[in-house]
Amino acid sequence: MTLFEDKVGFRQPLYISDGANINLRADLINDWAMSCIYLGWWAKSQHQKNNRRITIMVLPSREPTTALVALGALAWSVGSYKDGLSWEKFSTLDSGVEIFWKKIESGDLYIGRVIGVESFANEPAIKLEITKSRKGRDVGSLIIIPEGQFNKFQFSLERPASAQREVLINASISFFERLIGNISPSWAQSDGQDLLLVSKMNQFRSSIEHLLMGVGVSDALTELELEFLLGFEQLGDGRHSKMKITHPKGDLASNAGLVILDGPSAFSIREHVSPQNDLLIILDSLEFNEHELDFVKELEFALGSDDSLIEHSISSERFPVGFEVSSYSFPR
Amino acid sequence: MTSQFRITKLRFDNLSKFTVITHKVRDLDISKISQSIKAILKNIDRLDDDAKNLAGLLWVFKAILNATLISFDDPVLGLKERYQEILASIAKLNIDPALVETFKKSSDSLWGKHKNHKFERLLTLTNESIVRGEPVGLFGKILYGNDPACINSTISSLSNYGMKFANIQNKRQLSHISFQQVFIVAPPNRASADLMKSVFYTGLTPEVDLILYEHENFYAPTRVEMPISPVFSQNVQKFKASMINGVVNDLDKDDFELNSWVEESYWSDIHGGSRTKTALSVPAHYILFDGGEGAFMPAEGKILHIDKKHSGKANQLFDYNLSYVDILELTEGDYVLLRKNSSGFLLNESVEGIDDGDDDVLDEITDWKNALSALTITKDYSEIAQLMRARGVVISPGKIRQWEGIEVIAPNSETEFHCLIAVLANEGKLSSNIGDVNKYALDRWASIHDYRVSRQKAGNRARQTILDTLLEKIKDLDIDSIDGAKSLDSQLGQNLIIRRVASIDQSTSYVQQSSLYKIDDLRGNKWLR
Repeated sequence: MTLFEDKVGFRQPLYISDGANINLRADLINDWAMSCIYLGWWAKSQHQKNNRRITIMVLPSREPTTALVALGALAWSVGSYKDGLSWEKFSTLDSGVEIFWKKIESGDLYIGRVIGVESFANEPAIKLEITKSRKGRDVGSLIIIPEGQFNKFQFSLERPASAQREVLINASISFFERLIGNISPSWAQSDGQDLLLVSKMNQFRSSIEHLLMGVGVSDALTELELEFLLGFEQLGDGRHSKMKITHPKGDLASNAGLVILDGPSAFSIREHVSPQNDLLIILDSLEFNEHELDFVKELEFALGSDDSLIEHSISSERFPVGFEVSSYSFPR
Repeated sequence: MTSQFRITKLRFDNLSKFTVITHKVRDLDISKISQSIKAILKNIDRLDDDAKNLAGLLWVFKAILNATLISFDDPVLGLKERYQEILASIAKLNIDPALVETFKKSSDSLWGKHKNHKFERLLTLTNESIVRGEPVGLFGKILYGNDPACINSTISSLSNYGMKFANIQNKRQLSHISFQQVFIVAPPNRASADLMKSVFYTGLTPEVDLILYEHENFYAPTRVEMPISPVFSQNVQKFKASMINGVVNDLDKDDFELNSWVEESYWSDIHGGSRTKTALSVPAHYILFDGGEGAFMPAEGKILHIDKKHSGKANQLFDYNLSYVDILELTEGDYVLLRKNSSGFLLNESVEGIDDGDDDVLDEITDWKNALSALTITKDYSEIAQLMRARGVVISPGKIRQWEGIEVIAPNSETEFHCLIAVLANEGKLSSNIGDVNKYALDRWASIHDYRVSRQKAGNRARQTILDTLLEKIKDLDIDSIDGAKSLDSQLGQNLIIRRVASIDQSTSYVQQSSLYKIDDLRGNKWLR
């Protein structure tokens, strides 16, 4: 069994390769790669409403370890996702907010804005104005959707995936299904982000170019490129994705819950990230210097002698040589 | 091309089995010369100018002897000329004749030798590696930006023996490679510490082979390690310098004292900047460029850095980009863009031009700094940090000092700003004219944000203009090629020049404002010859 495999609950062996195909003998995931996945999974699983967690990882290289950490965080998200009523969320949206919806029966897509919530036949109903539709005559018209009719539509605050992207999303969901089992297929389409990665985007993309992941056994192996498995989109582009990516100098507004800061430039903008998000900082072993040490000491200092904030060891399994990890949790 | 995944995989493997093997080489003449030099250096008065000059000459002479892999009588090393210069310098001083005699006798014996024992040992040790056909690295760099021991040409000539070594010269070249073995042929007296750390701490290789003369010590580089929090204390296996075998970890007192003196003397001879602040001086760092030029740059400054990478499809084509980096973020091998006889701050100049007339706006959006200054009269920064902490914002006292000063406009986070304003209001330091405190904080934050955005946009516009012109000129050229950067100088015009960083004096110097950016020609300096 690979390191930490039982902790993250993977049901089938995971493979990783930079070749054209997965070789079952040679490509079983390495301990270091699994440790990265585990740490992403762990950091995402630690999110609490009242406490903020800051975790720092120092590794021999950030490429492609950051991508594997991100994969771990998404694995936790998809594994822990439970379908819920979106009505509660949509009925509290401010008027003027742009939304996207699909009529499930016909598949018709609409873009519009929220007018407000009002009572319709003694039932709460959301009132929308259509601003874009395949049928030109619908544009400008108002529609009222009572709570009881809500499930006939699929709503999103982000542009729904294109048909081409939907294929990739389905492939990614199938992969996670085999890896974790019993997941909700609607996770990928559900509202909001689960992870924001702040990184030099081109560098990040090239670090995972042609990296292939596999799950399963010889006669039933599912393969997918890591990039498609992560399925990230740029923050602020309006495209739906559970994982968003942004440049250190780019938009940082996110309620993903977990923000990964990849490298020194991302680390330098940590104060701009909303405190509602936990932080997972990844640096290579030469990027951790006096300045970074001061930051960790500040965290230690902030913990002070409050014993209730001192946490106990997570397990006895040991990361491969080269991993340095610290994590601190504080009231938000 | 090896993928980054494969490289990372190798690096973790390498770290888990990392070994350092020391191979001691015997050469009586070199041992005697080194011992006599050490004794001379210990006994001279290094405050005396002649003695100081002699110490520099001896140190470089010794560094070359220890590091070179070619015959000591090879004229390319210039050892005989250096030797004559040393004797002339010794003659001016009162030095123990017995020491001088030992030095002379052993040196004379060297010129008759046509054999370099370190080279012989390297040949023996590498035969096996060549058979395996995997990359082998050689680290022989002993002086920044300079190669007095002729390591570069030695590595080229090793191909005559059917051997191919990668010449380890800068950190950047190591990011996408893994070696089966790295040879270090001399203590890296003045090579970059970061470069040495790359060899020892990043899993670059599973095996480092040190080839040292019997009298030589090798000190393992140290890196800053992260403290491990209790939650992961059972899981982390720390990789410590103490795991490195066959290396001296405790500095010999004499070596330490001499190294410290050389470090200071080296920079003092090169740039002469004062280490003490005066009323008229500004803090600066000295950057030495390849080829023997150098310049002071302001300590808090940024500089235009040229990023080079392969364009992906063909190894011969390159993509270039310009980024604006802190002076102290530069490492050896980096390319920077400068303006000759003028400011290195190309972008700042342009931005300042655009933003002329901003002062009133700046005064208005930072009017709360007066209240903060007023509060510091009765409370120190730690107490103010405590007040903020009581409101749920954890901040260091140093940050508050920065906010009060002119270096930063305001806190970077809106939460911190609102908390600070609330503290100032609560302490009665904000003017009553501001009205509602929350509204004041919201308005000020919006103005600070707008100001920052407008400055950023102006900077971007200026950067784009420079970028377009420059990138067009260097498109498809390899600036690492022998004449790459130099040939570009003539094409760039507008007094723009590209230089490759050889080293940076990490200690702060204090110099006159007018000394900044001036490019010095240091080719005749005794440390750089």
